Amino acid sequence: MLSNTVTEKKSFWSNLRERRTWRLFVISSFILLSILSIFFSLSKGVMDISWSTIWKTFLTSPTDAEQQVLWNIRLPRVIVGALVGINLALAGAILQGVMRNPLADPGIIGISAGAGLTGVIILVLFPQYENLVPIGAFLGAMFAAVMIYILAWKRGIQPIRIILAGVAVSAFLGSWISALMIFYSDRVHGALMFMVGGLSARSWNHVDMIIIYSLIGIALAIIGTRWMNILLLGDETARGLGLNVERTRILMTAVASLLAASAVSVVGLLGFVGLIVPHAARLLIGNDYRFLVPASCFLGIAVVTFSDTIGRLVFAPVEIPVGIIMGVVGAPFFLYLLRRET
Amino acid sequence: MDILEAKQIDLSYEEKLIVESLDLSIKEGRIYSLLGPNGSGKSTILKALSRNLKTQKGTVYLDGSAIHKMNTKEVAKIMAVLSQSPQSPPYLTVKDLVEYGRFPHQRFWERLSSEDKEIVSWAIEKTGLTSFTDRLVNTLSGGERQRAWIAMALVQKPSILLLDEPTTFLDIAHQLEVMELVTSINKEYGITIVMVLHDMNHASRYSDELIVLKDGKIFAQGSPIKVMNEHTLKSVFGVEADIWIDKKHGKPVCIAQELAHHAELNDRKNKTLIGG
Repeated sequence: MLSNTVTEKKSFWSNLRERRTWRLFVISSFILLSILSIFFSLSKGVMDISWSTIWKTFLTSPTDAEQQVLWNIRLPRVIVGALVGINLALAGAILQGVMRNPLADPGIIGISAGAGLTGVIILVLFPQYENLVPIGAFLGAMFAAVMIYILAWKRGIQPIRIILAGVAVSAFLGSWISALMIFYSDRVHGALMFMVGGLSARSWNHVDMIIIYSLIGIALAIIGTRWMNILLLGDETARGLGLNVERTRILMTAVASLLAASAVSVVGLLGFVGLIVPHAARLLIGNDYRFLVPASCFLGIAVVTFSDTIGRLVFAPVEIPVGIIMGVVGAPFFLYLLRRET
Repeated sequence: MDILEAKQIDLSYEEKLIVESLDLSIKEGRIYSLLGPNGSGKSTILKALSRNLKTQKGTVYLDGSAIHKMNTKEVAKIMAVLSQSPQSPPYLTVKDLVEYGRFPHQRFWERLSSEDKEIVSWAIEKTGLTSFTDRLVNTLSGGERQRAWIAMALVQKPSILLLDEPTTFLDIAHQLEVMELVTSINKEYGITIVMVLHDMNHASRYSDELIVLKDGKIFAQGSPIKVMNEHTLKSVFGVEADIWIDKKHGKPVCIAQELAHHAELNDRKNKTLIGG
């Protein structure tokens, strides 16, 4: 390009217009946002905690009441929120690619409902195996994904049928969850919280429960970025380039199911995160999964921890589950995307 | 030797048998055009040759090996495919797109090597897109976009390139441009070309061999001079055509004059007039 040969000092803004710099700038901003949201969440609540106390707690062992609140209540909740944000955002980003549908979100198309159903079955009927909930939820999510594919398949993947099939699968599996919760209402604590998705009273146990599965899912999502990029070129072109399209689709759907399942295991049916986050990231940096995956991760952290904190604060001491906030923001966003696509 | 060969293949779409016991052989280094009316099975056959459609019976061989038993990445190193109106995701630059062509040569943890980068800029230059390197593919004209896809295929370093109607939706100048590009790829690098074309005259001018299809069967195969004649056009396309040899290129050229059954009706009408 001509402008490159001209030796002129470029301003900050003209540098930004170069795509590489711009993408790194956006990702850095998301990292900053996620850090700010985490600190915001740690410091705000019924008891406000200063940022210096937060630092101290990390450096020394917790002693006084403030530090106990921080260490035993807020920190695990923030970590669970961050993991859930990452997992749902990545699950959405992957599903939108493999299903060729921008509206594919684990909540909307019933993958979360599949995870939720098997999770609830274990909690209700085999409570002694509670630590197997994420694995059970993964199997449920995969089952839902297979159902969606079978229902939507007609000469290849039909984007519209994916959503229609997904809504049906979601309603079908969701009604079984409701039924179980009615029959075993004595055994299901916080049933309502599960149905809308909330982070209330999430503890270190919940962190332990999903951290391994989340890390595996995130690692696989990062490994899969190149395949996702090739898949975006369309099935025929991807096949021409030597991508095993069917295997990639199954594998990446499984990765998305694992991510969604580990989120559902600890927060229930939290919707719209997988829709809002990847789309906001896409609008700013495009479809390249090498950038979309890290951007979604950090924006996911920011969105979920920030929304959860807002939910804790606005009507304190009454908590609004984060799922309600996501629904209020997410449903109009869904409609906006729907209009834009058609 | 045959670089690509179909032996007794049956092809069907949703239970409907479209091609039955077809034999086809593609020799290395030549340009082939598949011709035929809509529904004659030409795109279906190309899909089978490019492993985008499974054969019901029979086998497609690439370089002597059964294609469906080969590792798909190994296939992609030998054969590049340009599908009909491929879709580019938004936000993709020409360079991004062309770089994807190195995918079959990379292991999944590998980044682009300096050799890869050289091949990418060679292909961009070869297709005349150097000044478009950082442009978004979606903002290019149809002809430039098609050249970008061809550049991606070139970067695969294939021995054979399959193209499904590469000139559809292009204006006359861009059609010629793409055909010239494809021909020069064949002449300079010896890459075998197999393409589905609608335009008889393009096929005749740029191909070494025409493969004319009718109802899923090969009606005729051979050099344009041998194959493109009144009989072929009438029996396969149902048109009465004038055909002559174009002096400039020494290849047959045709103009379809009227539908064959109309011509027969007119004949009969004339006869009755004379008879009456």
